[in-house]
Amino acid sequence: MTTSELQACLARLYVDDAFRELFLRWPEAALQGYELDPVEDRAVRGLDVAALRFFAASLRNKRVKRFRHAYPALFALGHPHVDRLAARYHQVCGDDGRLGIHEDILAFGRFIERCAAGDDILPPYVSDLARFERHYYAASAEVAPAVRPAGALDEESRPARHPGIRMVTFDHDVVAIEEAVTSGRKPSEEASAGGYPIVFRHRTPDAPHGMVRINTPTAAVVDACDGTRPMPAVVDHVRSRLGIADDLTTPVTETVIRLLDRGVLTPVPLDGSRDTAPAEVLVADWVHDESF
Amino acid sequence: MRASDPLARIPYLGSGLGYRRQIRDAIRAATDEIDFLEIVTEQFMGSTDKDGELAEICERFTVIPHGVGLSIGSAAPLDSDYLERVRRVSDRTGCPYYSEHLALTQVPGIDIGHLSPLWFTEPALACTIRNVRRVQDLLGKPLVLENVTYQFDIPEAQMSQAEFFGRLVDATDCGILLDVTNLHINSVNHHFDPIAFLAEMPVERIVQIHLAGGFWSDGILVDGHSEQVHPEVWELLAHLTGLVDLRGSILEHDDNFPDDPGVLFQQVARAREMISRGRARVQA
Ligand SMILES: [Fe+2]
Repeated sequence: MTTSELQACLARLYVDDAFRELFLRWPEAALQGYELDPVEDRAVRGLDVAALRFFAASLRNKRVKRFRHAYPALFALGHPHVDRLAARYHQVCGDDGRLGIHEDILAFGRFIERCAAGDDILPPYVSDLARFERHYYAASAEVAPAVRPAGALDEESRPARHPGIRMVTFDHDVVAIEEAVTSGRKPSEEASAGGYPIVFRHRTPDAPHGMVRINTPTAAVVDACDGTRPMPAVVDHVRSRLGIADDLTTPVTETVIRLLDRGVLTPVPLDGSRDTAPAEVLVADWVHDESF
Repeated sequence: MRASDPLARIPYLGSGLGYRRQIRDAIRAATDEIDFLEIVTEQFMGSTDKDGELAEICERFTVIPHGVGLSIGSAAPLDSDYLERVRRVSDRTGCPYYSEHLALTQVPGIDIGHLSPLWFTEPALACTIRNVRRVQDLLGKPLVLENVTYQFDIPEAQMSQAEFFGRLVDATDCGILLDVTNLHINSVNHHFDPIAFLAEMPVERIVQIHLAGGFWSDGILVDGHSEQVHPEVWELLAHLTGLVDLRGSILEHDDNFPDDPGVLFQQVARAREMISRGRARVQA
């Protein structure tokens, strides 16, 4: 006997509310899933119920505290359904240890995004707000290679996003919503068909993370610069995206140069550079830069 | 302690602080106040981008990595990938020992997310001995295990925690990290005499201590690592320093950071005072 079954049963009692309640109401039903010897069986049945509940609550609070830290505006809504969903995530998406804290925080955000998008309980912008905070959190916690000084544009150029740069388009003005929510004002629920593109920059070994709102034409340029298109094709792509017949060579080239200067783009895809380094958590370094 | 005892080779480390990124700058500037640092292993094993930070701290301080996810009491075998990552951090710091908790944190399919108490029985002891040997063989250095706080005992135990520790250190030559605050908290929450507990413990195997401050929640004293060290903990430490030649003390402070980090350094200094005075007495 190695106590493996007792340990498995105890761990489940600590983290699984429904299993614990079943055990407290109908121990035979709960324990029939475990091969416990009579001493182990007595040990489990002899656990201090109040202390067991206290411990379980402390585990949930510890996990949810991380989510509160990474999604401050989401929780600042003060909406009871957010707390309900957080408790549900803790139960439904149990942590098996392979996920890691960082991935758990990201997975929580995706869970909220999907739940909020499909319900009529939370305001319509909540899914976007969670997505925004997820990307902002990822930018703060995942480290990208340092921004390299950009060379000049030439015929060889196939502009690409710099490693650690993410562009995400939201239906709602999430920056305004986040500001309103965290300062206790009621946010606008309006959505825009064109969307609100935001560029997130992951932190690097020598620079903090950040984000900047961009306009739709700039977003079309960033989108076109995927590292496969030479400049004339970038211009064409932007024209078709924006539905403009005029020659856009000059404004698109100017925009690309500006984005190169700001480290959003590189003249050519950086060989061997990964998008971001493997994730690790840096919750403590949470800084809300409004721009970069 | 035998001459061949691996613990005998551990040097005197002095008094230090748990490295927390919230107070990184204050720590960097406090090489005079801090003799050594304790890092949380898991914060440095996710990716190589932490290597620079780790190298920088190791350049300034002696660093002891302290893990939270080993689950040394697991009946299931320890996770090999995890152990490899522990070894990498252990090697990079060049630490004279590696510290962890006498606890269960994982079973197959569930990460408990916190330290949970062991069942103090023969089978659990056998699993823990097997695991400690494996870790020490892999790391090539002693494992030093910490007493944890617990909300409840697991009933039907076959021995006390102190006896469990005693038989574990006998079988493996591992060391003990006595968290004096955890001992105080457990003695309060579970109504026992901490001095009597120490009398049963193999105190000669205590290598290092932890000090911290907790808070009350629903009638339970919680090891929050968020307050100043309790007066009762200093008293316990005074008792302990009369018994054993401690190699090091770490102040753990993770939350509710004081505006003035000097508040932490004063406690570090007080611990240094006490353990160095105790050393002189014990060695005499
Ligand atoms: Fe501790």
